Amino acid sequence: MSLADDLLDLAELLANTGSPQLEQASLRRSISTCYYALFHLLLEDASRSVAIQFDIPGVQARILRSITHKDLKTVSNSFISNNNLPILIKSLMNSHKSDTNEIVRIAKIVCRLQETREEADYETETNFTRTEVAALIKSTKDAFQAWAHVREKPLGRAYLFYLLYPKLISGASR
Amino acid sequence: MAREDFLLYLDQAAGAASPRQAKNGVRLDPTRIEELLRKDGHTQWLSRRTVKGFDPKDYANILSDVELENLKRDVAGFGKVAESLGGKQKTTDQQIEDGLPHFLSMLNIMSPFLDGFNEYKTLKVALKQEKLPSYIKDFAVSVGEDWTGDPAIKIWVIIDDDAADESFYKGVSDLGGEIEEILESVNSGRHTFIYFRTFSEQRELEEAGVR
Repeated sequence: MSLADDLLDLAELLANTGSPQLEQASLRRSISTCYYALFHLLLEDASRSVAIQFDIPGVQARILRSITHKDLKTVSNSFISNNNLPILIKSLMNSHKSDTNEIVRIAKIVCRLQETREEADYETETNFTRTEVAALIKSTKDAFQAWAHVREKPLGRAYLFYLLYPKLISGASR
Repeated sequence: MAREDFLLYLDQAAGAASPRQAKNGVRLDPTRIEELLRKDGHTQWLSRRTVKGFDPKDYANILSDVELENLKRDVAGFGKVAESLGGKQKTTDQQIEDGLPHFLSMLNIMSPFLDGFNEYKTLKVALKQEKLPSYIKDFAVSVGEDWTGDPAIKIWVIIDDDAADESFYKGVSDLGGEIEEILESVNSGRHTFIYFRTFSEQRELEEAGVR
């Protein structure tokens, strides 16, 4: 089991804690854990793809830490809107509809989890419900499944490439 | 500038019934809006400021003749009630009774130009046309910015309590995608986030006065 898989299991455990007094705190931690499960799933693949070329201890962790949450949002939104991507990637998306749907699904779940995680971690006025969190967990599982289908495909590789080099997305501001 | 002013005042007056002010989402069902506007201490909508800056000429090109006539009638009727308000005196029940129909009608007529109202209406129409499953009971809407400051809209899809079973969760990602597709026609460049709640969870939040 990878860290990403463990985090997803933990998110489910947190969402189903029995204590009513801890409900909001548990749901908040569950959302945050869900986001980091998907974050690690994607970023570990991205960082590994580069680190594998260097025999330097700790290099993968350094690469992973260089990818920001904002990068993840920028790249995901570019794939969702099919904007700011090179023509080569756009035509790849047009000719591989099924893989495109999977990537867009993952990107949307990334953005939704990212937004919800910000609220769960910092917005004290926001309330969460069990149904909302259960749906987020299910969507995260769907994203894991979709990623398993496309991670080795050209579009999956392209998504990882832009996570590593988000400046190459035109209009990206950092 | 008057058109924007009027929309701004209308939205601000709506208070708890404005998706801009409802962090946890608000159902824009007319009954729910009325319930919120009738609440004690939530009658800030009944103010002269609400119709300040209204000029019918600003709406001649965007409303039908009937809508414009109705809007003029409501602004005049509302203004008359607002004029009758005493300085620091508490708003009377009669003033609320007299002013509320005009305010609700103004919100309804201007809803295509008020953030969140348009999206809500679009989803309700889709539900009526059976483009969405019948276990969906309503929607709650919140409009604002996402975590990076980009314009965003959040929609909570409110489902029957009994519907939240295994088969619902199985298709929840696809259902979210369908709802996003329906919203694409009206969503003007805002990031859309779809969430789910049961009806009793929604009522619980409403009864607790969560905004």
